[in-house]
Amino acid sequence: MKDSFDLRREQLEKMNKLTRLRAPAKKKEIPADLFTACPQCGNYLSNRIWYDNLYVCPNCNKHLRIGVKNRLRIIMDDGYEFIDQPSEFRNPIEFPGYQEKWQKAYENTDADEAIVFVKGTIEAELVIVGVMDTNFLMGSLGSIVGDRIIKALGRAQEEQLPLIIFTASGGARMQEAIISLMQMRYVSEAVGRFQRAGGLYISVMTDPTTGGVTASFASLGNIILTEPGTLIAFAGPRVIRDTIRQELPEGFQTAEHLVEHGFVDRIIERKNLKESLGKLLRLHNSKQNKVEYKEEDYQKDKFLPIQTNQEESAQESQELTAFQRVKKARDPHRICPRQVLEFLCQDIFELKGDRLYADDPTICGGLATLGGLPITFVHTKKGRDLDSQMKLNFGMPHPEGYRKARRLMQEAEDFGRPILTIIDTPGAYPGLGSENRGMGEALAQNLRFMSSLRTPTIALITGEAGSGGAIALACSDKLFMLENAVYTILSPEGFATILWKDVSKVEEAAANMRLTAQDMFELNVCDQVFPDDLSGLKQAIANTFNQLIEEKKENVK
Amino acid sequence: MFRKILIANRGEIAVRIMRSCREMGIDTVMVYSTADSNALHVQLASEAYCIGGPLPKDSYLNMQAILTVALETGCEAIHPGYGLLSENADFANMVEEVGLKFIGPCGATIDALGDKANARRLMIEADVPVPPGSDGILPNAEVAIELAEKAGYPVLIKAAAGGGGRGMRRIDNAEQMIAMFNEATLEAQNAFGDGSLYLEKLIENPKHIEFQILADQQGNVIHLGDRDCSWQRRRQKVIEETPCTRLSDQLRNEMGEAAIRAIKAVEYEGAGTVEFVLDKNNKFYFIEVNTRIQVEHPITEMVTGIDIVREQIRIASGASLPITQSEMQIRGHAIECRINAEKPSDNFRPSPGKIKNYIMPGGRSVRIDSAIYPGYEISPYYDSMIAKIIVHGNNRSHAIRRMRRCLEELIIDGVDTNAGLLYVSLFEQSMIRGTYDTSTLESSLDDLLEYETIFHLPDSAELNPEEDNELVLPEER
Repeated sequence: MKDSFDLRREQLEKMNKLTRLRAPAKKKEIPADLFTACPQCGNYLSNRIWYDNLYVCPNCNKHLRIGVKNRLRIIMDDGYEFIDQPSEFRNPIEFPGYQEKWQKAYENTDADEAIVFVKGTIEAELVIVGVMDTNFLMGSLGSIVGDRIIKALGRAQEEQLPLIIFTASGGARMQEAIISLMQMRYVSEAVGRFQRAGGLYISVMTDPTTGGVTASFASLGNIILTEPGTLIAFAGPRVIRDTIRQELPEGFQTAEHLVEHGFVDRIIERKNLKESLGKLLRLHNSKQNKVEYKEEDYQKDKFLPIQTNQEESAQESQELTAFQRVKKARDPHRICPRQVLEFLCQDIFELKGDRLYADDPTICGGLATLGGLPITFVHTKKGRDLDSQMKLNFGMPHPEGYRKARRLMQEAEDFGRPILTIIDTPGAYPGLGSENRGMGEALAQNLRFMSSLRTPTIALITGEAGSGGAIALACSDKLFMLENAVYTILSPEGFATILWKDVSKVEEAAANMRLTAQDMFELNVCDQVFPDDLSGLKQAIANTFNQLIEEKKENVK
Repeated sequence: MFRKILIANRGEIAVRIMRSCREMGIDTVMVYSTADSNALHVQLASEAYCIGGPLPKDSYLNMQAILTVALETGCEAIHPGYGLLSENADFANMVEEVGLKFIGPCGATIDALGDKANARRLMIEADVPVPPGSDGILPNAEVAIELAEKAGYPVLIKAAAGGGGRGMRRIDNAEQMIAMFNEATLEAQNAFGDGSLYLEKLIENPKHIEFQILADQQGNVIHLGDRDCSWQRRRQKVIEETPCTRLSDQLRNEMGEAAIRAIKAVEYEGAGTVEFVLDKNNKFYFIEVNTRIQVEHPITEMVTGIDIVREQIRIASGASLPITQSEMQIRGHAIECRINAEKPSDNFRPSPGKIKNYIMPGGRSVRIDSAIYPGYEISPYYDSMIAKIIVHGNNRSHAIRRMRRCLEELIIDGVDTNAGLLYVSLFEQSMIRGTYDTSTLESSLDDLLEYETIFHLPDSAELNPEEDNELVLPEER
C-alpha cells in the first residue's frame, strides 16, 4: 500500500505541473524570530515559549546562551542604568581587518562591547552587574573589556557595592594578542584590590566560560555560581583535541564536572538565579551584628528526635556506661548535624568545593542566618542508610573536605561572619587518596588557621568526634557537646588494640580513656553540655556568639 | 409497507437497494450466480440464494429461479435494479401473476415505452417534442428517403423494438439509405426478432439531458430536475452532473413539464427517466423513457435530498408522493464519476482481476456507491463498473474541485481503471465550462489519453526489481 501512495504522489506531482494555472505560492520563509530548535534535544519551540521559559528547554533543561538584554531581564529588577562609557574602537596592535569585524559586532549585537555593566537592584539589593555577550566577538577579553571591569570594580569599591559578573567568553581576544593577555593580569589585580577592601565579588559562569576569562576574573569570585550544562574550561575541547589529540570523556568541562572537582560553589537553574543572588546579597549586606532570636524561635526550643526510646528515662540516661554512650553516639538514627543546623538556622545556602581538587560531600558548608545574623556554617555528614553512608564515606572526610572548610572559614573571616561548626565524624578518612593529597597537612593547616581566626567560632559535637578529623573542625572559641556525644583520640576499639592488643577489651577501654561529654566538661575540653533534645542550645549559642562578638570588638579596640 | 423484498440484481445497485431497505426496516433476500458467491451484495446479505451459473441468462436473467426464491422466502415484492430484468415486461408481468409486487411500472407500460416507434407516436400525441421523422414503422427505403429529405440529412434509422444502438444506422444521403436499409432490417430482425425500423432526424452533437420522474399510484407525477449525461463514450455515460449549465430556469421548466406529459401519456408508477437531446439552438427532443432506477440517480438524490429507491418502494406499496412539484428544491450541484475496471489506453479493454487494496475517498459531501473490497475478484462475466463516486458542492466549480480531490485520493490496486482518464477529463476546457456535448469525450479522447498515461501503473517488473534479480541470478552462475 505504501508503494501505491508513493506512486500516486508522483503521478499527482506530474499532473500538477500541467494543471496548475496559478503561479505556485511563493515559499514563505519561516520568520527567524518564530521558532528555535533546542541545540541539545532538537525540541522545536516558538520563540515566545523560549522567551517565557527564560531560554531554558522545557524538555531537556538545556540552558541556551542568552545575550545581554535577556540576561538583564532575567536578573535585574526594573530601573537599572548602564554605567559604561560608550565604547570606542581601539586596535592596540594594528591588527588587519579587526576594525571591520568589531564594527560588525558593534552594529549587530545588543551590546557595544563584549561586556556591559549596569547599576541597579536584584531583589531590592543595590549592586553593580556585568554581563558578557558571546554575540560580540565571542565575548573575548579585549582591552575595552578589561578597562570596563577595572572601572566597575573601582566604582563598586568606592560606593561599597557588591559586584556580580556573568561571564561568557571564548577567552582572550586574538586580534589584540599580547594586549589581551595583559588584561588577564590587570583585571585579576583589580579583583584582588576590590576583595582586599572587603568587596563581595560573585562570578556567575555562563555558557561558555573558557580560556583567559576562566583563567582570570571568572575563577576569582568570592562565590562562583553557574548554570546547568555550562561549558567551563581553560583549554576548550577543540583546543585539547587539536593540540594534544586526547579524546575527552562525556560531561568533561561541564558545570557538573567542575562542581565535582571543587571549582564552582553551586549550579543554579536559571529560573532560581535571581532569587539565589538576592539571598547571597542579603546575607552579605546584613546590618545585623548580633544573634536576635525572636520569641517564636524559642517556642520551638526542643528537638523531637526521629526515634524516641520511651522506656529510657532521663534518670537512666545518667547511668549509662561510657561504651553505651559510644553506641548511642554512633546510632545512625541519632540527631545529625544537618538537623541541628536546620534547628538553629535559616536561609541556608550551601557552597561547595575546595577550589583545588574536589568537593567532599562529607563536609558541608555555606551561609545561613542564625537569629537573623549571617554566619558561616560547616558540618559533617554521615548518612542514615547504607546508600547514603557509602556516598558519604561513612562520615569520614577527605583532605578536600577540610580544605573546603578552611576556604569557607577564610571567607567568613574576610566578611566578619561568625562560624558555627557541627561535628559528627568517626575521624578523617585513612586511605591511599587521603594520604596522597596530604591529609596530615590539611588537618594541620586547619588547626593553625582555626585557632588564629578573629571571627567568633563555636563548635558543637553531636555524636562522634574522632581524633584529628574532629579537632580540625573544632578549634573554636567555645566547644559544646550533646550529652551522648563522645570525643576521642581514636576509637575505643583502636585504643584497646594498640594498648592491649585485644579488641574485646573495648568496653574497658571506653570506660578508661575518658570520652563522654561529662568527661570533656570535667577535663575543660568542652564548655557546655546539652541534652540530646537540644533544649537550651538556641539560647546558649545566641548568648555565646553575642558575648564573643562583644569581646572581639573590645579586643580590636 | 412491505416486510420483505427480493433484490433481483447484483453489484453496487443491489447493495444500494439493500441499504435503503435496511433503513426502512424491510428484510431483503439476495440472489447470486456461482461466480458471485464472494460478491459484496451476498456478503452483506442476511439471506442470499445461489440461482445458477455465471452467465446472466443462467442466473440473474433466470426468471423462474428468481420467482421461486422470492416465493419460497416469503418476499412481497421484487426490486429489479437497473439492467438485467429491470425493463423486461414479461418479468414484470410474471411477478404480478404470482402475486408479488414488481417495483416499477407494469409490464404493459414497459412494453408501450419500450417499443420506440410506439413511444414516438405516444409522445407526439402528448405534445412532447420529438425529432422530425417517421410517424411509425418505415414500410420501405423509398418512404424512408422521402421522410429523410423532409426532415433533412443526416438521419437515423432505428430498430423499433431495440435499444443500445443495435440495428441503428446513420444515413447522410439517399444512396446510403438504399445501401443500409436492408442491412439494418436484418440486424434488428436477428437482435430483437422484429425487423421494423423507424426514422428520426439525427440531432448532431447534442447534449444528453434527462429528467428524473416519480409517479405514484394515485396519478401524481413530479420531476426531480435534470441530469446532464453528455460526457459519453460510445453511448456509455461516464460522468453525469446536475443541474445542467445550459438550461435556463424557463427551459428547465418547459422540459420538466414535457417530461411529466410524457409520463402521463402512459399509465406509469414508480421512478423513471425521460431522456431528451438538446441541440445547439437549445431545442429539445424526446428520445426515450427508462422505466427503472438509473445508475446516475445518486446525483439527483444529492441535490434534492430525496432517496429515490426509498420512494420507489413506498410508491410500490401504495404510498403517495412525499412532496409536490412546487415543494421540490434543487440545492447546489452534484457530479458522478463511474469507475470502471478497464484500460482506456488499450481501447478500454476490460480489466478483471483481484482488488489487492483500495483507498476510497471520503470527507464532506462525498458518496461512494461500490461493491468492491480488498481481495474481491472482479468477474469477467459482468459489467466493468466497480464504483461510483458522487460529490455535492455549493456550486459547479466547487463540485468539480471536490471530485478532483476525490480522484486524487482514490487508489485501486490490482486492476486497471479509468480513474486517471476521469481525473484528466475534469481539467478539459469544455468540462470546466460545462459546454461539452455527447461528442466531446470521443473527439478529445486522444488528447486526454495522452495525459492519462501519467496515471499508468508501472510494469510489474519495475515494481519489483529485486524479484527480477533473483530470477536472473541462477543463470549467471
